[in-house]
Amino acid sequence: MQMTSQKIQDLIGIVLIVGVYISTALVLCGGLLFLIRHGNESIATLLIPLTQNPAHFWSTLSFSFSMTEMITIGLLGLVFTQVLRVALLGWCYFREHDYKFAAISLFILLVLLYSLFFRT
Amino acid sequence: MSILLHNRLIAWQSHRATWNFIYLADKLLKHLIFILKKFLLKKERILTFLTFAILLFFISYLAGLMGALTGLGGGIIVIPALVLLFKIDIHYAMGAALISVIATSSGATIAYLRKGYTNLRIGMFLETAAVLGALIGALLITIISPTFLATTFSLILFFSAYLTLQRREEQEHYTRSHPWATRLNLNGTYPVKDQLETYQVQHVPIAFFAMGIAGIFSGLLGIGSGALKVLAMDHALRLPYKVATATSNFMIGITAAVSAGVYFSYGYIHPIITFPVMLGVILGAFSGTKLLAHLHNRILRFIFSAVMCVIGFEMLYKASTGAI
Repeated sequence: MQMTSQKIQDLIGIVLIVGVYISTALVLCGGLLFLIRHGNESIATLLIPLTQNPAHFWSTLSFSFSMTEMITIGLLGLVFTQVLRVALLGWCYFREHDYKFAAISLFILLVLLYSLFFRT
Repeated sequence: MSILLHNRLIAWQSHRATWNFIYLADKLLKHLIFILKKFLLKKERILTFLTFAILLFFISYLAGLMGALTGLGGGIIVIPALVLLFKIDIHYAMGAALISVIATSSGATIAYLRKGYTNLRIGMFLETAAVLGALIGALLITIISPTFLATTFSLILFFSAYLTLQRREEQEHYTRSHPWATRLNLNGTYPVKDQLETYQVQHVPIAFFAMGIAGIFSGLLGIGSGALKVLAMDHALRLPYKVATATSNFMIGITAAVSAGVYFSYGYIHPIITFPVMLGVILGAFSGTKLLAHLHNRILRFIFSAVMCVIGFEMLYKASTGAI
């Protein structure tokens, strides 16, 4: 199957729309729930300077689906949409037999994955 | 019978949803009035999460709008607002700015791709240089003094603000493109008043080199990759300005995602600070993409230069206080 550049554009557009809407929905739900429960509390707790030790990327998640967890997962979803669009673009170029650009996409994808999972 | 029951059920559900919504809206409104009263009576000026979120949402909306129009991302507005207005720790502000860049990029690219402004091939090709540069920058971080770096960068920004205003693309006509551009199939079309116009890409190696420099700076400073990206596409590749901003919008999300892992693991991306930013920026980016088609190139260039000068002064200020 030959893919025109118009088709590739449409495909990337769809990936972005789905990724953005899912993560926005998660962030919106988490945020509204938080505001309903804690909306009238002072933000003083936010003003404490940062003292956290670096943790590994994945150990910051517990998947307990609390309000803040929901927001974090939504934000992560937004980040992974970027990974997905690079991967998809590379795949499209590969199918198009455009190996130069497939290699370029693969390189960017590898750097992205490395920096997300292995860099501390 | 079952259809009747089904209809009743749907009616009941939507009814309940309406009441829930009214209850929510009522609660929010009462809270707002309560805050306003407190504020006006000046008895006690406390900043609650609700006020914080609403204010930050509107600021982020503006940031997303500007980011989508200029191709710079929303960080330039979000960071100073968080640090100066709300006294938030700079690290949290940078985390929120990073998310705002990714959100602007994703939101704006949806519309720019559909309208045909974004050039995916140029975006991916130059992104390699930016990523390479960022890797080199991360290695150089212990060698180069941040103060020197910030000063140099602010000078580059002022210079690029001047260059951006100087170019008059309407008077330029290219009949041939750079041999690399032909080999890599980088030339493209973009919409001008309901019809497609083709453009010829120039000086590819210079743009690739400039993008590497941009990557090094962004790897070292954490920000500012968008500024040099637009400049390289505008001045080296000689792209139409709207194509340059749209393609930069496509690229900055990927560049920002490269540093996202580090920010997440250090806990710099605080969910409560970041959620109003993300929501506001997404909406702002959508509005920005609607605006771009109607704005004249001259106005866009002016906005871009103004923003560049603001970032330049911000960098100079940071360099003078040593807060990098």
